[in-house]
Amino acid sequence: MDRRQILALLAGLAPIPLTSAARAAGDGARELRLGVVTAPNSLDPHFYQSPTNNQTLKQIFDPLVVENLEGRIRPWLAETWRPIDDVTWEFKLRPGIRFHDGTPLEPEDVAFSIARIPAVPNSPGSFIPFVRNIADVIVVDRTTFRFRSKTPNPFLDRDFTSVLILSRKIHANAATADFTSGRYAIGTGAFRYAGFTVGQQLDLVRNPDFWGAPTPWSRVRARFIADPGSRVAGLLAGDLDLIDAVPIQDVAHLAAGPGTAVFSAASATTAYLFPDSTRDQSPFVTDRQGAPLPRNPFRDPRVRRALSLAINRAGIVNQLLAGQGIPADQFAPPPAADRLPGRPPLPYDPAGAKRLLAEAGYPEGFGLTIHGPSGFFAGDSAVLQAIAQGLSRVGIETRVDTLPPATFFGRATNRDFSLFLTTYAATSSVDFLRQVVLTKDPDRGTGPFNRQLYSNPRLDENGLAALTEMEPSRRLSLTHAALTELESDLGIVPVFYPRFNWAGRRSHVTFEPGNPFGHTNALFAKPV
Amino acid sequence: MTVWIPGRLVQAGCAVIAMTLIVFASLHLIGNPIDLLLPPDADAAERARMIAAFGLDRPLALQYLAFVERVLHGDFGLSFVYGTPAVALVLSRLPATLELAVLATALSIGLGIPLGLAAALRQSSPVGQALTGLSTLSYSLPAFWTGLLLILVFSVVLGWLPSTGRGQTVAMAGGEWSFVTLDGLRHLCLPVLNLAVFKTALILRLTKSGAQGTLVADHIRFARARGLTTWRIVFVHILRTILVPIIAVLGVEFGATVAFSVVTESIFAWPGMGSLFVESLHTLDRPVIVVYLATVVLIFIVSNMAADVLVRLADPRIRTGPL
Repeated sequence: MDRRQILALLAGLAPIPLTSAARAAGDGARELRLGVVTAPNSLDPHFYQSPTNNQTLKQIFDPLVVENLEGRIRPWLAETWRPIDDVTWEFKLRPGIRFHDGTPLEPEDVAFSIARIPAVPNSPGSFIPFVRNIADVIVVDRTTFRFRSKTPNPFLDRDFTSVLILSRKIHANAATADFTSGRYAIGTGAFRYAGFTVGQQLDLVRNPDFWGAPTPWSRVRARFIADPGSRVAGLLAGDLDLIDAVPIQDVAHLAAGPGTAVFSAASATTAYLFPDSTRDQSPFVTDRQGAPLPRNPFRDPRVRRALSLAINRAGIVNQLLAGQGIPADQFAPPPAADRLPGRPPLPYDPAGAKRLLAEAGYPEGFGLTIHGPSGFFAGDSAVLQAIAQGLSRVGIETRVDTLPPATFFGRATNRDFSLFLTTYAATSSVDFLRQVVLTKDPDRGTGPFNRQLYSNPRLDENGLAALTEMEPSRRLSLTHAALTELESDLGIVPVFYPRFNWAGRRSHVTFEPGNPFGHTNALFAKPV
Repeated sequence: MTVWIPGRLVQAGCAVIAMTLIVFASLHLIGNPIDLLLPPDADAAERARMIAAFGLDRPLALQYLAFVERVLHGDFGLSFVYGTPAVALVLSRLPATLELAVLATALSIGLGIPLGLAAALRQSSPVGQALTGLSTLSYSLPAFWTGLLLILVFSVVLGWLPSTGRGQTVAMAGGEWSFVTLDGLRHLCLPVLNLAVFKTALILRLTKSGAQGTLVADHIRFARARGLTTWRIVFVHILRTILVPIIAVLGVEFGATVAFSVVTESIFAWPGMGSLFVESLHTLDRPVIVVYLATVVLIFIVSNMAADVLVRLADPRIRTGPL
């Protein structure tokens, strides 16, 4: 070892003051170091439809349109779009967009991307549902194309917020592994690929030829750190500039700390209770002595209403979640489109709950075990405990059984539970209806997450009509009719809307998420 | 020696077969990966596509037979999550775990044996007492706690070392290794230390109790009477006597270090097999779980075999046996 190496070794071991991480960088060279909880499993934008992959890949690749924080669809690669008849939508691309290697973006690339999605092998969760209904892509001119759908789809533009566009010239023979290796990780996005180690880190550099305003960050390194304590420590040590999924217990001290700040945003997620309201008998309801009940109390809407009235939503949000949530007023959260307007938070009224239970024939209440995942969303076990206490207070003697997600979701799908807590996320009220509460029907594609097989004909009638109604005002009134029916029937019981949060080095970065999916994306980070 | 190595390999094969059966049955009881991986936008057709793609539409016994058939052709299947061969995925993470385990073992030998000897020779002095107390303490501290403490002290407060992650790597011998770069070594310090805490305490205690017993043995008293230096007595006569049980324990412990590096890898965001395993458990990625556990079983068996060979070399009595 010569002297230079020894000096380098000493320099390597020397203390790094917190501020030096800014590296006295000029405006041209700003680095952003992210600590991200989950790692993408691939860099192929058509491989896996998951928040982790999407947040990562939307930095390198672009969709036609994007959702904003209010759940509205905004232009992105496409400047304008409109339905021209029941099954035809016309999109106009921004002119002059190029891929990172200089290849121009053309309407044929949209057709190529749609054709590629079903051809990607071994996907653990595909984008196929977004493109299944597309019959044809017609190129009109060098920037204009039309989608023809098999059936009317008023939400076609929303489907294309998730489909990232590849080039038929660059990616014609690109396999999933070729993206992950970096070879074909060539998009139109604000950042270019600069290195990826699966499960470890992703390096990006600024795309100077980006079609939009160039990003202020010259380099981004996203490191994947699953342990919450380690993410916080990395931020405090100055190894990271911005971390996501801040543990609830750390929010207060990171917000008050001299060097750190907390950024928080509404999410398109709802935490809700799903009662078993269809079966005559339900596995986890008993009388107060523990003997099975001859009839399932959750079939009675009054019992479901009592359930809702027994939950102290404000207490849960403020005390258990340190304010990192909003009490629910309906199923879809505020960032979602087409919500019922002007609804106050769902009431907390234990006396009213007792009255309803007595009316329904349960003056003494009954016994119940409620189920929920542990370690699935922030504070999940504690929230379930609080709900159980509220129920016990009105006479429903409730025991709690939390399960690891690996066990929980399979059992929930098997209808093993009488009442369970989970979450759903989407940016439109209609998605909540179609995916969770409409009657499960594989042929129509409705209710894939309707795990308790809830079924309400009046809700179905309006909800199904809304799914294919192209006229906006008629669609809105159909949606609202279905939502109002759900509101009075309480097929699901909304609890709260979680908030997403991030923490960053106060002197270095601010973070304003651009969508309600909690995406940790360098495009949303601004230098101080 | 040539006779018992094939025997061991047969044992290893049986252990791996038993393990795969247990994994298939237990993961089937725990749940299914579909409900964990399915995107919120998925419809029933997409769900059916995934179930068929993973082969989960067939009875478990047929799934297992298909797995065995593929394994006989050298194919352990594709990871449900990554869509790439599970063996390649696990092996790509092996170097990171191995360098952690090997360096932690080396460090615990380098620290544990001298400190154990010191504790035995100075058992009533404050130093000896302190060493014994310290080893009890580090023996009982949970790894996730010591890990966060190390990060807090050396990264957050002192700012000397990086808090998490793996440093720069160099491609060698078919893998990416970080112990050959300065940046890599800096990132290795804390996780290696964390992994070595428990093992150092273990070796310290083994050495100490072994040395205490040997100190009063006849051959040591004769050596003293012959006027040999303390140095020679300790490092030749005592050490050689106590080495056999230490090697035997290390053989078991190395496999355990690889297996229990899971916690350390999670805390330090170390991209080894352990963190891949934890992630795969969360998604019930059966092919990866099977390959990881098979790898760990093999490492256990190989390190035990290596320890047996070393013990035979260190102690000629074992080689001849009771014949």
